[in-house]
Amino acid sequence: MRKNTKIILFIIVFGFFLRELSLVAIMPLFSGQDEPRHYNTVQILNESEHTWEVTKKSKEDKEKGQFETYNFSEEIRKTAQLAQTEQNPREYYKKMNFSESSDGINEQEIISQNDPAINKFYPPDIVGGTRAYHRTASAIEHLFENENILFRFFSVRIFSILLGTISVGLCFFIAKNVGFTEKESLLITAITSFQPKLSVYFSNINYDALVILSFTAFALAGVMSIKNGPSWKNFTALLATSLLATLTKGIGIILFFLLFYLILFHFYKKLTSLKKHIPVSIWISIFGIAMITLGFLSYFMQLTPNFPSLFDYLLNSIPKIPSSLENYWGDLVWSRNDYSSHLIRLIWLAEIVSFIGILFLFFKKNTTFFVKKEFLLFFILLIATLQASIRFYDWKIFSLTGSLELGTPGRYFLPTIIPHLILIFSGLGVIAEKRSHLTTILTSGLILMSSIFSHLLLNSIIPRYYF
Amino acid sequence: MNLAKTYNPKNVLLAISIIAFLLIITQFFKDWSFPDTHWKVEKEEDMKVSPGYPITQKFISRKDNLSTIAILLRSSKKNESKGTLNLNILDEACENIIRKSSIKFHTLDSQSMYNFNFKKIKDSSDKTYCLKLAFIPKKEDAKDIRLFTMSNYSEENVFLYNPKKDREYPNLSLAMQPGYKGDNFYEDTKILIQRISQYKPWFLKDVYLFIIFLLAILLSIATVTLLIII
Repeated sequence: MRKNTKIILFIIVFGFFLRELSLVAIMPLFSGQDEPRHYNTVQILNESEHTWEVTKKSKEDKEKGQFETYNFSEEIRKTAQLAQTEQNPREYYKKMNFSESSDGINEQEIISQNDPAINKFYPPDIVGGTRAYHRTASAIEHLFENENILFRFFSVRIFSILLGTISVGLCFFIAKNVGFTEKESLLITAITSFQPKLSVYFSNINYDALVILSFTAFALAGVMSIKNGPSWKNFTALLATSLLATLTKGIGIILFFLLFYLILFHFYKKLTSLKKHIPVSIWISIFGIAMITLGFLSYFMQLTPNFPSLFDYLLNSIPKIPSSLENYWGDLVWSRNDYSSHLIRLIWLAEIVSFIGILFLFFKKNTTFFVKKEFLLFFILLIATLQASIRFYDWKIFSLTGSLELGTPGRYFLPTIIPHLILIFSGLGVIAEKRSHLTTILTSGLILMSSIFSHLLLNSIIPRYYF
Repeated sequence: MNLAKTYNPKNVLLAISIIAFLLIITQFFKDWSFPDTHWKVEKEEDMKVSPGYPITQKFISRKDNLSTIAILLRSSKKNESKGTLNLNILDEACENIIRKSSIKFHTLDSQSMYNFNFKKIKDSSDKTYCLKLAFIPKKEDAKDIRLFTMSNYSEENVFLYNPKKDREYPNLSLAMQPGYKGDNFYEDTKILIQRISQYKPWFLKDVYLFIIFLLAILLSIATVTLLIII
């Protein structure tokens, strides 16, 4: 790596870190997606054996946005009440009552409060499933146990930023190792660093921060294994990232299927090098796809698929796709001055053109490109597997409840955002043909993404809370 | 002048990024006003505003530099009440217009406030103003628009008057918030930093926060500029 590249990469990554730190400060206490629940999960992991009286309270008794009705720790309930953070997420006109100084009206009371970080109401409102993110965050919470809740809460948010900063840094190495030049890789990294939805997620207390990092690290390990061939180092990295993702959130399990597919890929390559590829290429592909499908079915079988509901599900969920796609690229719809949905249409256009480029590359003879097809196939498989799993699970919930209770908001698809961006620019690169044109496209992409981010931050997020 | 050099794609991209940045920042400064959150906005009874019958609200400005009136309107169906809302700020006697502002709309929503921005009134502190809100429909058959009112939460609320009913409502006010600016850019920045600092730990407050913002802005500009020009 050239010295200039190192300097610019540092500027991109450190710039991202500082933007995230700004977002951490701008987003009020508990304002992130399900943030009080995630923070309560962090706190409950630090609870010692119960020596206090526990009261049973049904979760159905809670009122949306009214945190005193939730089964959170005493400390969270009291703090939320004092910091006036209780609000319906869609009532954008409600703002906290600001004081005329840098300390909130009840800030001293929050700092000096003695309400314990323990849950007295059961069952507690916590995030179910696996806990890698929450356990690490609870260690941070424990480290600062003598500090006030504001210090501890925002320290855990900074932990999410660190995970995000590593993810953005890894993006450069993925892009470079699939064949992009150093400058192109820097541009892709910078574009990723300005992705608004990703930025918002890495500034919150949410296990998705670690899921996204795990998927990104898996993508890098996968790329390295395709590039350099199988090795214990690559295999260990793939296994470790799959394990980490699975220990963080249930969806992480899909990385094991992809790991299996990568092993099949290397097996196939080995056989082709032994010139036994003619019948093998066919049965290995079929075997691989069949195994993945079977794997999925066996995993989701516990919910018993209700196939007749598929048509109803598609009828209900397909109309939601456009809003999910807008949400994925960062549209917040928080204010009337938010023009980001128009700018996001430009990204959709780029995606369509890129898709045509990818089709050309795979199906038109004599189409060559500097990114090997193996890498692109790996990314497509990664993205498709995540999409299929989430939609499959959504359908399962729909078949049980009759409504889109889980839904498919754009944030669910963020773990594969970096491979997705690289795929988009690969497709655009095929269309552009000349390398210099690709650089211009990437630079335009950077201007577009940084504009969407700046617009959302300055004209939507800050006015939402402070103007 | 060397035209080939002038039309270098890098120059064009740099120009586009500067224009985009200026547009975004202009919008930001246009909305830059700090609502008086002492006026607690709630959705209670609604009140119709008919064309030709402007609603009148008298209120006391708590501070200098009154620059915005934010009003909560009730949602309307698409195009059923298309038109313009004109807001005039008059003196206490409701006779002389001091400031004017208007908003054009196709449809109304009630999730966020409508901000009527105007040039700041420098010496507005403790003065009583009269606000007149008129609806000018685009089509004659347009439906009346509706705005939310609330019980008299704020002592700065003087009275609300509906001319169509020729009735005063002493204990009611529009669901509104007056907004203020600082004396200058430095003071505006200071108020914004103060508001963001509230309920934050010491390392995300005041001067630390300002340094973080400043470095984040500089490095973001450096990222985009460097990658365009190298």
